[in-house]
Amino acid sequence: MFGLAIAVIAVMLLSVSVGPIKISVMDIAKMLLHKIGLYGNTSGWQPTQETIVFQVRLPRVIGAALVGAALSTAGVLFQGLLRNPMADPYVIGTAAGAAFGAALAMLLPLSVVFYGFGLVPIAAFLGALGSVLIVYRLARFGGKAPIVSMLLAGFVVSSFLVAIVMLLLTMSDRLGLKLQQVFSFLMGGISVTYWQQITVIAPLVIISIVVTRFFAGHLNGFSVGEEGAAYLGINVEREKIIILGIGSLLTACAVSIGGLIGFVGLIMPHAMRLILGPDHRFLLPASALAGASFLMLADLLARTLLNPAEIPVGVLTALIGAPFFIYLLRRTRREYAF
Amino acid sequence: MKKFLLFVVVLSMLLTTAVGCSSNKPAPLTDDLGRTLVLKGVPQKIVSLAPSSTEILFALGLGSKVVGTDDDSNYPAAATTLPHVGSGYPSFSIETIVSLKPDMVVAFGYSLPDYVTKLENLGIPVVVLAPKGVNGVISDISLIGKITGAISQAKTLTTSIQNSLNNIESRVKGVTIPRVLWEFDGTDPSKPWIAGPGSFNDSMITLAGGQNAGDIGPTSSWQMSTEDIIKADPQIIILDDYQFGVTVQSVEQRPGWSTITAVKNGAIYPITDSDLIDRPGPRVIDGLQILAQDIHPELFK
Repeated sequence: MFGLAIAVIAVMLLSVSVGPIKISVMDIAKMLLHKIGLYGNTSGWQPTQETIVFQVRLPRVIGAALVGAALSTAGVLFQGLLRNPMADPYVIGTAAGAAFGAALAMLLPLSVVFYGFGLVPIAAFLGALGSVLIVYRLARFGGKAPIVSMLLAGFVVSSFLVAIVMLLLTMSDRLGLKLQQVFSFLMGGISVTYWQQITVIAPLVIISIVVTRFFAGHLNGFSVGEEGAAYLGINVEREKIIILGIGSLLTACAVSIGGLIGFVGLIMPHAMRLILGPDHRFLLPASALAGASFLMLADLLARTLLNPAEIPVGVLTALIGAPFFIYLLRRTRREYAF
Repeated sequence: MKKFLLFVVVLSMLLTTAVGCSSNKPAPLTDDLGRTLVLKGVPQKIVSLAPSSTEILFALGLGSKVVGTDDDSNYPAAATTLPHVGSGYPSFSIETIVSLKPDMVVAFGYSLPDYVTKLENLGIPVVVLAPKGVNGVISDISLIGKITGAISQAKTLTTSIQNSLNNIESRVKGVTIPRVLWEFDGTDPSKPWIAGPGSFNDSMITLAGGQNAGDIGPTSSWQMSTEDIIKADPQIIILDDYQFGVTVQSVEQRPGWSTITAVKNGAIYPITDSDLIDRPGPRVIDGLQILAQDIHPELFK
């Protein structure tokens, strides 16, 4: 766990130091020390370099870390709650809801900035949360929302919303919708413009992840099924709402600055399960840290490999994540405990 | 006597045909994709599938022959009341086009659109325009003039465009060439869509005496990161997304942009009517004039 925390910081420094404009790690360290008042000499670097580090790279790198941590944690929560190894943060409608919200926002010829967020990220955030709410309401019957109903409702609501998005795309010319804009949202890519965005998203993500610590034991209880969990003294329906709520909030936060980035939320929890075993008390924080490092690394490659062109980060998460996961799966000889 | 007359008539017909074959036969016309055009006489009912070709047809006084347009043709006003046949995406309505019984369709595309093949299989000749730069627009106007018999109108129009073009070119000749960033879409301000190499806008910047700061990109329209924009350090920024609500103030306030020369010098110019500049039709010369004034205000006082 300590190693993972070190990795986060190391990858963060690496990510901040690499880019089209060359800035050495030493200079960055000095700039950071200068920022917190421990280093007085500013002659070593140009103002442009400082602008690049503090206003362009750092917010984006931190954004990537937050998205990675949020998606991985949400993945653990949904996989544990739904007892489904194929569950990811998007499984109960968040992705389709976010895409629907984003596409609607792109139709409006407005340029609104609210706490650093444009209309598209705000609509994506609301769309993700809104669709989960609908899914939960549809699945709930007689005070209970069984897991099977929730998965089915999630699938149906997603299909419906995706169909609407496709319809909007078909009419894009008539509606003035820009196709390339929609596709770049669907493929995912970290987009942080203002520090304000970080100051909104960071507390939401970090507090949510810390809060999951208190439900880790109960998630372990869910592994014996809903009925079994009830026998263990867990208030199943209440816990379900809370876990679902936190997972959805994390996903919505991620979507608002990263679009639909796939693979991280599905694979990082499994990778950590292979290494650490299925106990959620370790799994949750480890996945958050590993997800943060992984996505910072993927984003670093996304923006540098083909520079000046940018590769959608969703392409890279699968491209480097899949071989990494296969390696883990083959290396770990013990039976996979879910 | 009758036989003699018949003989004369037949002889004269043969002669004229022979003469036509030997010296007067014009070279076959080809469209911008190099395809030989096979038309049955001068077209009388034309369908235009792009706003730019609609503008060319109306500017040549052929508006009365246009029987249908694509959904986006919005200029001149007379064109807006004509029947619409859909738009390129998802696809034009082939049935609507056929029902208008055109004897020529004017399409737009740098590679052969599949609906062109469909229309030609149905026996409707299609002219595909794919202009590169203002010179491409001039030759397109001449081509349409030749096809439709509006040769003198085309001559007048192309001469006027050519003169304005020569005027702009002579003015910007020898001046220092600034780096110009052309922003298509800044909805995501951290990596706006920028005009890349080979785009129509790229050629417009060059004609107006600038150098495209986005020409390092991979495609004609691409997302350039803030850091790469700061590195390219444009001296002039053209906002082609002004009509979508991106303002000069919002660009100045983007984090990191204050270090860019164009922002420091207040050289950010919104395009108030992008149809003038993005549309390769007759009005493109007006767009070029505006662009040249933005890039070289000192030359156009």
